[in-house]
Amino acid sequence: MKRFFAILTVILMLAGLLPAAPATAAEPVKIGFVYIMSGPFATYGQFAKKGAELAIDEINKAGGILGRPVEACFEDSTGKPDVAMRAIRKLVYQEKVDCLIGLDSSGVAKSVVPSIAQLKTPLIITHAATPDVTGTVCNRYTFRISLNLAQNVKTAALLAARTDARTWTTVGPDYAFGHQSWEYFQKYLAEIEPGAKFLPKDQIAFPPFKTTDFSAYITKIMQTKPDGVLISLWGGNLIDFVRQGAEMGFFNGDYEVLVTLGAATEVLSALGDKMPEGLWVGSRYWFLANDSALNRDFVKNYHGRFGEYPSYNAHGAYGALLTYKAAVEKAKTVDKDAVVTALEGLTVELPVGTITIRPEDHQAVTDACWGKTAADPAYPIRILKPMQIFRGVDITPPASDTGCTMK
Amino acid sequence: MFDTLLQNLINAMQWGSFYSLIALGYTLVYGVLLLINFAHGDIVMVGSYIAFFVATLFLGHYDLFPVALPGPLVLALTVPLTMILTALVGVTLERIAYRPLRRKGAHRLYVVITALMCGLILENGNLALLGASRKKFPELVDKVIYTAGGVSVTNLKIAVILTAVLVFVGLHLIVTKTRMGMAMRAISYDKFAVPLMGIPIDTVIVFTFVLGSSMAGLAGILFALSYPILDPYMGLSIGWKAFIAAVVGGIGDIRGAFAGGFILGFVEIMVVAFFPSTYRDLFAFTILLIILTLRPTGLFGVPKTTKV
Repeated sequence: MKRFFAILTVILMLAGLLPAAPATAAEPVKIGFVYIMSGPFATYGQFAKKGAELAIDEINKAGGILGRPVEACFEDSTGKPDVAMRAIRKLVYQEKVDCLIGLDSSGVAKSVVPSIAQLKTPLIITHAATPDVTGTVCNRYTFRISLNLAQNVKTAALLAARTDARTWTTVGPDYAFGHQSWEYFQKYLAEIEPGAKFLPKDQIAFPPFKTTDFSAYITKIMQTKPDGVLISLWGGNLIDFVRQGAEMGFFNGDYEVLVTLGAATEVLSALGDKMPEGLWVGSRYWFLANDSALNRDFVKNYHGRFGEYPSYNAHGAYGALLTYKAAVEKAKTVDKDAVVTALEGLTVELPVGTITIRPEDHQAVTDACWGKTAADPAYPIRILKPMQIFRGVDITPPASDTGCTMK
Repeated sequence: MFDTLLQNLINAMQWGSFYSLIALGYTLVYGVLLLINFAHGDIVMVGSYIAFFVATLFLGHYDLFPVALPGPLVLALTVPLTMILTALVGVTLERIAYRPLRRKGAHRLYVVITALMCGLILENGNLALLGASRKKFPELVDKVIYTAGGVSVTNLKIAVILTAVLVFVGLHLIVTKTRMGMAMRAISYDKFAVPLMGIPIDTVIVFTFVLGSSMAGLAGILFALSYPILDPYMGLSIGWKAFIAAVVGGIGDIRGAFAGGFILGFVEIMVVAFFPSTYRDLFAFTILLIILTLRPTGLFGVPKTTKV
């Protein structure tokens, strides 16, 4: 009996010791992702998850970050500020993540960002575009590697100035994003081209987010006979608008059309050959824009694994992991404050191109790609031909204009 | 200017047709049972999904039926099948959710809450079963665009408007001219005396749900053809608005649902056309409120005294 207990004790000790030993050697680096995983915009979360999984597999295959494997925790923000905040708290306090990545909705971003400073955990925003999170509510722990609204609309204004169009109007979603897009567009275009005219409030169109039938808005814009239209609708709204607009002759070439988020792959693949040719479309990332080895590999591996071309949200999550890895390697530790300091002013190569995170407002200075929609037999979706690349420094408003008072 | 007005009128007719078709379902059930079937908007959503699966089945997307039929034939099969299946869903809902409560003599408030919950179950059940990603409804008929001057209209828009008018005429005839219609009106008049006269009350109620839900199925198909992206919440906002349309028209009256639907569609489109577009809901609901203030029972409603 004594011998039995002795053996049992040895077995128990071994059992307790064996898994414990390697665990201390390579405790994983934990990353928390907060995206919209359910509801009508769930595709954005699914794309981000695919991009994140691809990056994590590649990083782990190459030896992890500082020799430690990367582990992901995904949470659903549902696109609602309170739910997103709970998810973030859970990730920080229960899962004890080293870094947060995510945020699709600008509304969510604007309301959770002020609390990030108290959580003292770096947050890398990859989609939400409101200028405020790197502006009026900026803080030490919040970063953004994707193009923001100001950069995207500045690009649109530069393009608009090259066209012959003088009188401009807009169709945008009836919330802060649509209204701010129009406001910034007027400001930037008026600076570049003082002769530009903008239609008054009762002639522009802001359909509510839940609109299904856009015919009244389409008719309204067509009736005013503008020279150019800035469309800031996105996702499902944009798909519905383009489909219905095409039927009503909206895209017959009577005016220039600039679609700020028209080069999103989910929009292009939903529309297929229903996407009219010859529209100027922009995006946060276009998979054919950058001819670097990194981008070619990213597109090839993503397409090989998921059977589709990477959307900008997939690129955002993928890029955020590369950015975090670069910052940790620069800081030589995963200590949150050291990583934050390393992220400030960090220059890193992503598939989209080389980006630099400005220390003043934590916004990445990144290139933007716009192009005209065109059919190409080699691709199942409309592609951008010709493409126009705008350099980050030319489209990013100076840090002094952002309203950020961090430094 | 005339072109624009005409174009807006066509836009309003199409959008109003959807409100009308859905409002008819609310009004039929209310007319008979004095029950506001808040699940009705979600039954429209279920109708769209049923249409999606029936259509993709006949297009040969599943192994079950490996032959791809031509689009128009698929549509011809999808319409009756979807109406039958959606009617089944409506009747099932009545059988398992509303009838037990009615048998036990539950207060109307409880039945209304049950209807709300049924709607939520349909939405979230769909989300759990089919996932969050949206479905793209196949194009069954080639779209033909007719353009005259500055006005353009598609064959689909004409079909939607014609269907709404035909459904209205058909339902109106059923309710006013047939024996079943007479029974429906009788139940709404006095639900306690009707069984004593030998009218099978459950059969009449089931018939009402069959009518209402099959119209929801029809609306679901047309909606999916016109706006071909399906998601579990698609019935929510249009359902609420159609309910408001039914109330403004005078809930319980077929003519009221039809008129209310078109008025709401008309007001929404015209506000966007001639005022700053962000005022749409503000103006639309103010106008509806004024109509209700002037006629509290709706346009076609008659005041009813509740018996104690």
